[in-house]
Amino acid sequence: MSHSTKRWFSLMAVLMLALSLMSLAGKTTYAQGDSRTFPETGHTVSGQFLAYWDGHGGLAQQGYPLTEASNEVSPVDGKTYMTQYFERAVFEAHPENAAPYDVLLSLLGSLRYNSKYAGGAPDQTVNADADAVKFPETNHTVGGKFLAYWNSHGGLAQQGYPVSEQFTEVSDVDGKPYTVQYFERAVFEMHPENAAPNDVLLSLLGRFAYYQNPSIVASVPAATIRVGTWESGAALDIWNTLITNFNKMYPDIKISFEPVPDNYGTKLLTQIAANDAPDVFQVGDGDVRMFVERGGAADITPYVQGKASLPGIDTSVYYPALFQTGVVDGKSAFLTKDYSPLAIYYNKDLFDKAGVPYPKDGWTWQDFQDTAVKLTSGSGPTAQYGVALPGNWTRAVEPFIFQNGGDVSSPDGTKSSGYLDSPATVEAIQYYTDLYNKYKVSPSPADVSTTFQGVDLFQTGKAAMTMTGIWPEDGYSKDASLHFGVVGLPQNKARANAVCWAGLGLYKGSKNPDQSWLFLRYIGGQAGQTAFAANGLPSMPSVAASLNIANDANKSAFLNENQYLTPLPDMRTRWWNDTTNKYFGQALDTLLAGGGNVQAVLTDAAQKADADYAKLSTQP
Amino acid sequence: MATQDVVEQKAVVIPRRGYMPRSKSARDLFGKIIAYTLLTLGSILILIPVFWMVSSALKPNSQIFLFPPQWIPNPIQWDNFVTAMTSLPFGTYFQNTMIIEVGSIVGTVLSCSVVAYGFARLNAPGRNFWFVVLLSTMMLPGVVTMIPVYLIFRQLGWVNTFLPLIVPNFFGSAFFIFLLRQFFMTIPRDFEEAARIDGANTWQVLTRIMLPLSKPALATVTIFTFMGVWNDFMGPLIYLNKPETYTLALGLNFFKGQYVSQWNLLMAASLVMMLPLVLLFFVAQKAFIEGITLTGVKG
Amino acid sequence: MATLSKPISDSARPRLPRVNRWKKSETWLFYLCISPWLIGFLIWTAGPMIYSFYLGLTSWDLFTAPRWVGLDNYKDIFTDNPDFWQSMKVTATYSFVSVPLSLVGALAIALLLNSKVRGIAFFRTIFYLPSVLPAIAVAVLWIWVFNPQYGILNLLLGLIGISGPSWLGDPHWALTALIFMSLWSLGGSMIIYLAGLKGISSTLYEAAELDGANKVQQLFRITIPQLTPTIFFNLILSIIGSFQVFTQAYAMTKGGPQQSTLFYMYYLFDMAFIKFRMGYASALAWILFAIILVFTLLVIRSSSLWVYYESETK
Repeated sequence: MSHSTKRWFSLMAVLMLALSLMSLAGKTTYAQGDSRTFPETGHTVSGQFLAYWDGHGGLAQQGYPLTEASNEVSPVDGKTYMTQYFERAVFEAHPENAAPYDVLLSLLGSLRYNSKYAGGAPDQTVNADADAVKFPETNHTVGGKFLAYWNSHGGLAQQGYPVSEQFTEVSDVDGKPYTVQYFERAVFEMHPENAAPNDVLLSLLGRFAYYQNPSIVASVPAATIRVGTWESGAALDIWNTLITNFNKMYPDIKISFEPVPDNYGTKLLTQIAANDAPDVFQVGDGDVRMFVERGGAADITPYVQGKASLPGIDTSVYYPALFQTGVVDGKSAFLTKDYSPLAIYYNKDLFDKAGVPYPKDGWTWQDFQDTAVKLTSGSGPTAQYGVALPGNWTRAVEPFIFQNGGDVSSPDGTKSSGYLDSPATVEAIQYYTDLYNKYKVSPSPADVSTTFQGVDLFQTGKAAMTMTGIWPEDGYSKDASLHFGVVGLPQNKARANAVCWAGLGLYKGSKNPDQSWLFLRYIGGQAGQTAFAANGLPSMPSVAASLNIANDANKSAFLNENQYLTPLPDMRTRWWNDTTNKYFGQALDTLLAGGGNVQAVLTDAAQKADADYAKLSTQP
Repeated sequence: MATQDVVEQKAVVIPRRGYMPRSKSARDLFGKIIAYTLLTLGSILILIPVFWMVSSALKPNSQIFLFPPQWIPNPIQWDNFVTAMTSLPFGTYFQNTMIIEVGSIVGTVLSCSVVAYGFARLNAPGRNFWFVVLLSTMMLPGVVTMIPVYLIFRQLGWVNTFLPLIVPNFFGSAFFIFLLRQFFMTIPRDFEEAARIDGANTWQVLTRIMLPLSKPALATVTIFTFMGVWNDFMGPLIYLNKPETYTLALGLNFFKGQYVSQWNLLMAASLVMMLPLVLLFFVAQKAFIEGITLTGVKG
Repeated sequence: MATLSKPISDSARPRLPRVNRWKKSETWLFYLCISPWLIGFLIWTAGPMIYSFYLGLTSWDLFTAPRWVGLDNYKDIFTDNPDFWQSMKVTATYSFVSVPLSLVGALAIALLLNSKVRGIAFFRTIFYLPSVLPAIAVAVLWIWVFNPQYGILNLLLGLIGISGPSWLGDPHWALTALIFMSLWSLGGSMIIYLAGLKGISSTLYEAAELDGANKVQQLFRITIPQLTPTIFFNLILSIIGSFQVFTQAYAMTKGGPQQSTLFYMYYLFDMAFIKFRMGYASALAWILFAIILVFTLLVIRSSSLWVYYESETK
């Protein structure tokens, strides 16, 4: 049983206990006056809010308070109202209304549905029960257990109209699929594994709303926290702005910003070995599992889920594939800083000159190869290459393997034989190396590291296409002499892509983890994701929408590849770099240097990787 | 070696040209021509890459990799130097670097000359053993001692200060001790023993005889220490965390952006960084000329 | 120079008792003199050295406590590690070629720069230029020089009809290229030679000239013998340095192509900070230590045969 599931059940147990106690205590609860402090979260509910809470389902319906009541600007009308967050609802005091409308609930269900499923949820099924009721106001049907729950728990006043049909949604809490239906003020979740009345549970909408609210400020003791990054140059301006803005919210949390311009890994490891690392630090995708397994990065799952009185994170606001990149064995360790899938840039002028049509999304290996061949011409200093392929960069070669249904190692990363040397993989690598050796459409890795060292082949028109991430896009766009487009990776048996990802983690030895979390949450949340989008893509659909990336002719091609991301094989084992990746890279070196039978070279690489894995993994 | 009388310094300066035969000056002229030819050829070989560096520093970044390469930048972009020098707080970096420089040079010269004197002149049981130990400290790669050394400085509370970069210099460095020992050993014992008979103590022997006679070597130590500190990257990287304490060598690496390398700015900044070293060398190498008169003391 | 104003001739000097007293106190004076270094050694160097030796007998990933594995690291290095042997081969090749070349090259340049011609200060500065450039700039510069199509080197070779190889891209040439590059910045040892040359008494040459010795004879009879302490220094330092070459591999070739520039230190660094095997890296470091020590001791042992110390001639 996963940690989060356990937590869920213990929450339910507390809930049921509280319900039974309340029914026993009856009116005496009210008699305690108009203020009550909940030790579970340490917050107090009083006055009209307490009356509403008690009168409208209490714990089961509203959940525990997450904050004190405070004045907040309503996103609906821009006016300020006294507001208090509960786990399943947000109460707003409207003294201008007479009772019972002096307390109103935010339409959290609608808000969430609209932000999560902008175009409507996929695969909705209309409940076909005989007693199902269709609500003409929203044109949605409620039936079965959901209808029974709706009727017995306040109906329209409490839950609101349905805003969707039933559909299957993967829970943010435990990662399992459940049948759900959205209502204006609630989301019903079917839990057939529970006995009635707990077979229908409500999502913690209030909590999600609370987590998403960027203006929530938790009260924590003053502290100085250290933040480490490998970035330099203009990227530091982004950091400094973020730190300044963070300090407007938390003036008592001083940020000691420690950029390390070079040899970041060496310094970070020295600091970790000396138990003296920055509280919040940046990490590359290849090191995620290593940092978790070896214990450099803290498990931030409790923080994500809302630890003590600190705001957590509503994980549903992230692209699942990106959020999962920072998750190891079900535990959150890193939030996305920025990322990019791979795509193909193409030079429109060179295509026009050669009379070759621009590539279209969904193109095939054959199209890719033909296009590259047509755009390859000349030799020596006047050579034009069809495409600048990524050489021995294993990360970027892996999509070809996945597109062909192959793999590089077993799902647990322990074995390469049978994967790295499988027919599907061999076929993919044959295709890839043929582009170099047979069709000669790309400069060899040796040429790239010598003749073209430091040269951007695409920008200088030496290559008509290039396969890389989003990073150079900004520079290319500013180059008036360069006319280019971007298209997704070509496909073979399937579409597949790989992510290049940078994350942000919390140091396990941090002496101020709470304060560090608040900063991490800030830069991993909306503010940070919006700012860091200058260097990559944002990990949140809402930020991508607010930056209008979908309407950017070039960046949208990268965004569109999100759906084809294959989880990185890097994450499978901490020995990835010492085993599969090492020998796969060496095999590519050998093959691209012009030699060898693909099957033989990959078989050899797989055997070496397995032998090293056996050796390394026996070390406890 | 003729070990006759130690004569007055000035007496040794022989008016050479006065008694040289004619044929010798012809040979000298021939020698000079050869010397100039070789010096010029060598200089060209050395300056070609440097010229390329200067040229790159004056180009727009996009022109650095033009094919065929463009030797004379067009247009000449002097702005690169301005950008390079103003995009980062080089004033602060320079100040930090100089603090470390002064501390390190003083510490190195003081400690190394004393220790080197011990190794060069004083006989004691265990001297050879300690000499080999001294050399051996240079043989173990710093990579594997970096962490334990870091732990020591952390224990002392010196991380994030200049102390780890300065204080060890006051305890000598194997390289310079060895270097000075070699030079001290080329100095005849005569002077020293003469001075001792005159009642000089060890300190006086060191400061009044050994050090003045080792000016070229001391100049070398100073130049090397200065350069070492100037270009040291790993030390400041590990021990300094805050940008306001960074040194020039660290700052230089900020030009290596994460995704785009600004080669022209990097080259401009490198040239600016190199300039003080070139000037220092140009000035300090006078010590080699002075060395001639001093060695004239020997008999 | 006050003490020198009334010199006493060596031969005429009577052996005074105070000199003997002085000899007796020499031991503690020696230790007093070297005490700064000795204390620094004990504080900063000895501990970490011993600790790293201990680490060589452990498995340590930098994150969790080191775990004792005895001689396993050493066993693995010697019996089952092609990368180790490759890095050994690369490093040894580099050392055996570059040490003599740089020793002779730097000496030749120093002799040239010791000429008493006008403007020599200017030439000295030029010859020293490569040594003052920041390493990162040197790396970038030489990548350009070695560019097979557009680089200066192949451009020059092309002028004399040689089609140059892809220097850094060709496993057969990459190491050669790095050795070649190392000869560009001999400034360090050159300057030490220069200082050594200035330490040679000019009266020796004057005496030799009066005896009719020509320049070549002076070079081999006076200059080189007098310079042996400096040569000794440079030899030992270049042995130590060449075994620890790192920057070129790190900044320019990353050990490639096909491991042809996999220098020992690069391999060691990779193990320590990229592969998180600090224990293994420490064992590698101590193997390197032993190798350098053996070579150094050989040089020291042989030095009595060829190193000439002015102070020990009596």
